[in-house]
Amino acid sequence: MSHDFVPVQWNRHKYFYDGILVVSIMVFLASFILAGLNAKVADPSILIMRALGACAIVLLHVILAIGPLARLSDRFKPLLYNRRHFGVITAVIGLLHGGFALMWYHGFGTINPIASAIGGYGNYGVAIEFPFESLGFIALVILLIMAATSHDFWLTRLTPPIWKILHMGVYVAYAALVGHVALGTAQFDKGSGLLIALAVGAGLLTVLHIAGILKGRGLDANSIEKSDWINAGDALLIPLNKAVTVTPKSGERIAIFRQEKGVSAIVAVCSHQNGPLGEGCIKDGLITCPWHGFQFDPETGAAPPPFTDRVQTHKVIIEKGHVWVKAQPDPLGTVRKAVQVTS
Amino acid sequence: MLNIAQYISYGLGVYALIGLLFGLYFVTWGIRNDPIAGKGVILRVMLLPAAILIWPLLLRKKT
Repeated sequence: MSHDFVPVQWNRHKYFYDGILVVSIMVFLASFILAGLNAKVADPSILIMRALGACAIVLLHVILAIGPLARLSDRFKPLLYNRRHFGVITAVIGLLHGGFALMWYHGFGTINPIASAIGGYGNYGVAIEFPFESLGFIALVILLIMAATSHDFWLTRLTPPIWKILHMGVYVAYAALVGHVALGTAQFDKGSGLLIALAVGAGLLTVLHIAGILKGRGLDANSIEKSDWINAGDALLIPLNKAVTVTPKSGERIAIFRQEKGVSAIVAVCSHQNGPLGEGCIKDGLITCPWHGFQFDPETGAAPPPFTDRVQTHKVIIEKGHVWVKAQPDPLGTVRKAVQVTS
Repeated sequence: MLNIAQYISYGLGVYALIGLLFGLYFVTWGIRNDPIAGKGVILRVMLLPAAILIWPLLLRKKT
């Protein structure tokens, strides 16, 4: 939480996950290169370059799968907590791949290597002759920007909405990388089976994302909005220490939590990285974001001291056992006592 | 096409050079009064790559 910034927030879990990640990457690279050498498919330098590229795109698939997987099962949430380190490592491996390719194929001529890579061959007007390295370059720039701005300092500096837009660029990078690999394979490496693997990966990611969206919608109460108030249904149907969410006609989604002492509502968007607070739970009396564990008091929307993060509260009333929540959020800092549920 | 690519690569070079100058200013002077970021040298060095890459975004906000 944003009480203070440190270069990297290490802890035992992060060491553990990063250790596994680094070892997995080493094993992947070694296996790829050894298999290639054994099959004598290419020069060792080219194999190293391809191994780095393949590793980067596999990691990107894992990164993109973590979000929906964590929504589908709590078992994957530790991966979500470490996703930032995944992203930085992916960008570094992509940079190594790009640098290697640039030097190997374009570094020894008379033309500027970057100009040679983006305009030295192929034809932008013909799909199959499209210079595939330019797509890889675009993806690499996006991944580098995301890695460079992944520190919480930038989240605070740029504000969460701008930071989020910047980091949604991962989907643009993914699309560019799919184009990069598909065109590269079609132009120079036909019959390698990479296109099939890529199609399977993209298909799996699509299915996971659709499943994740459907699961997220499943948390939505059957709400009815009437003159600025939303009926979120029977209060006792809200699981204890968990939430249902409602979406007003305008404005952010609202998370309505029930705990022993009553029902409270807050804006369902975490002030840290826009995480889905409605998918979190109440731990030690505090709403806990499922993404990075940021916590907020259900009645004030404030993080516990010394942290200063806050989210807006919503006014709640209960009539005949039904929860009604005001569609407009309160000003930041407004205290709303939990409303007791009487059956 | 190669000519356009040459201009693009020069443009990228100029962008990176301005970014480097701005980035150095940003991490040394720009955040010197920031109560939480202005402390550590390692943190400032870590912020430099982003300052180089997204300097137009940072120029829009007062440093």
